[in-house]
Amino acid sequence: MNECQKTQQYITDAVDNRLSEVDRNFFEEHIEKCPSCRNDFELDALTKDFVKTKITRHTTPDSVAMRIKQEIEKQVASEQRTTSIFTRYPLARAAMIAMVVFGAAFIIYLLNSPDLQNTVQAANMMDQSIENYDLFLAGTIQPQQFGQSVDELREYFRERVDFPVVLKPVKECEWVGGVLSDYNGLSLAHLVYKMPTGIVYVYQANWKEVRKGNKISLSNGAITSLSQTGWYVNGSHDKYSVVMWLYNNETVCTAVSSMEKSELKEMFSTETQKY
Amino acid sequence: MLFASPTNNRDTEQKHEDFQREAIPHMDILYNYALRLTGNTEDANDLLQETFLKAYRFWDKFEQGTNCRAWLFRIMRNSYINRYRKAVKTPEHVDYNEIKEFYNTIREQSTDANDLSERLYGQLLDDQVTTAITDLPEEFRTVVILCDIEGFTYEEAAEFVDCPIGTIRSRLHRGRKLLRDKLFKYAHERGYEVND
Ligand SMILES: [Zn+2]
Repeated sequence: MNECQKTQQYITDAVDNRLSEVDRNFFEEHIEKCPSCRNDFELDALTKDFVKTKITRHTTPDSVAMRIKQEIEKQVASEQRTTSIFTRYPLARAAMIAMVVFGAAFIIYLLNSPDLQNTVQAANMMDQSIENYDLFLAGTIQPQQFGQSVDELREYFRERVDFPVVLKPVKECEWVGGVLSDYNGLSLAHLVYKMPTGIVYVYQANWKEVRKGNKISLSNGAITSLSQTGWYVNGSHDKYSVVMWLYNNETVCTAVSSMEKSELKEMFSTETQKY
Repeated sequence: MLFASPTNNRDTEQKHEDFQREAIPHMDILYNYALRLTGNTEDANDLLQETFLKAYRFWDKFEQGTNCRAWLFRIMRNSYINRYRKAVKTPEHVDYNEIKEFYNTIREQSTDANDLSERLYGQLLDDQVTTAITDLPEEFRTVVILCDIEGFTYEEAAEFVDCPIGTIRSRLHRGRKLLRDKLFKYAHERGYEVND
């Protein structure tokens, strides 16, 4: 490398005063005797200084800062609100009343939501889904977002979990609710379909994480079956039907319902949609 | 109980407090970056809001104790790249020999660096300087903004952009040259207008 080439490589650091003493001595000696390199250097330095003096720095306009703070407070409020199904969605209200008539003890639980806590051991997804289903029926867990179709939940789930949320439209569904939760640092998605015959709950998690089994686990039988066939229909839970399936090798879904297993599987067998 | 978080009010309050303390104070520097990225206040306002709302939403992904400003900056840059990036303009060709020749002439006539700068770029309008920066391809623009306008070191800029220091150096090198060509071109065009 000749002197000019070497000097050219030093220009940017020289402009920013970053050269070591040795390099700086070399650099200064060279531009002393080489007008071409000197001009290159001076032009860069002049440009840098000129731009810096010309660009005015602004403070955020008050109205803009205010709006952002308000938007965040709205977000905070929506996280804090244990959303009342009654005020949020009139259709859901009708459905709830209908359910009370059917004898579900919804309302009592809805009115006094208990404080929820974290646990730390890895939980079996299958057991967890059944427990959650009961909690949904009891109103202890409530959807944060409601819609007449799954499309209305798309925005709610968007970019908030690290796996695609499966939003399958279901025929005859009266309304659908969704809520996100966090379990030992894992993001989870929950959907509730209100069907004429009752509630269908779908619990969704990141398949990679479930397979690792650190936070949420599955029996070996379920993992093998899901990996090989994409489905797992278990016979041992006689209280409810539980059907698991895999979406796109990314999302593992667990549906719980009081309907027949075959019926439940059928409900989710056709082509699924992601957000 | 297996279910937690979205409805836990105490956590939410704590999160809001942390966010107010750690993230909100960086609003001005992000606002300026948004202005330089988008080139207009309307898009800058939207980009700023989008950035803070995303940051709040993903607050649990922010590692406490690390550089919050750099983290916010990366969110803004990614949002910008995803949403606003325009088709890349091919830099207009400017003959560097012409610049050098002109520079040689004014250098001989000038008394000091200020005078030289005035002769070189003095004709430029503030708007033209802003446009020249906004028109740089994003990767060069970001580094010029960080190092030359905000005054960050290469090391800091490398953390912001998430790339090696050598990359910062070479982008800055190229960015300054593109900027120089553009400014020279504008100044010259305007010089002719004014003198005519
Ligand atoms: Zn030379």
